[in-house]
Amino acid sequence: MKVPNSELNNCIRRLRFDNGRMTQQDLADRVGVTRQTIIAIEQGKYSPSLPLAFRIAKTFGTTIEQVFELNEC
Amino acid sequence: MNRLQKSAWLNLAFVTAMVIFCGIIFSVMVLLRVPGGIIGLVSFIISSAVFGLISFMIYRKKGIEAKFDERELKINARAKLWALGILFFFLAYICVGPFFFLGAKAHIPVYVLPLIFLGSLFISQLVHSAVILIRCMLEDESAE
Repeated sequence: MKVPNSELNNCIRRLRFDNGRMTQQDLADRVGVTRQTIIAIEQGKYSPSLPLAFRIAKTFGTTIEQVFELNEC
Repeated sequence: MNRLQKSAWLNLAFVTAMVIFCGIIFSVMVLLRVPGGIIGLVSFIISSAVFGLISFMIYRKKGIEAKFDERELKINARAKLWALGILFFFLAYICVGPFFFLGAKAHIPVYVLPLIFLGSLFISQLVHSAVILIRCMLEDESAE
């Protein structure tokens, strides 16, 4: 689950595949951002804001802690 | 091409066209030795009003930046910061440089001033658009 260059680790890619193989574009449309933003989040190059993180978690029907993990290294 | 890239290209194209157009007008006025005074002031007011109206019509209809998501807003803000920084250095060297190169008692023609303004405008927009486009290009290369 570890991704580089970010304070947050995430498992968005796995959750997308677990939720009917959702595409990045599908997820982007549902949370109101661009596909490039979803890509950047998955690759750990961008840390989402709190509202966006909550919207992502809500889309997957899970809690924010199960989507994002603080990187304390 | 996403909204951010489109916005960067549109702004760069508009500013470039405006700088070229104004540069041509100023060059013609310098070559024709257009007199200053009331004629120059009225010309300046009219051209500023026309340019302001065109800008308002273009940017009011564009509305692209209003639809940026949070990441694009951050990239745009960072690009504006870079543009401001480069603009500062450009103006510093352009305005202070001649003092050292030409000496304290030297004179420069008045038409240099609008050229400095146009140059500043072009350089700041060039940097702003370049930062956005380079950032988007680097992200596209690493995208799946």
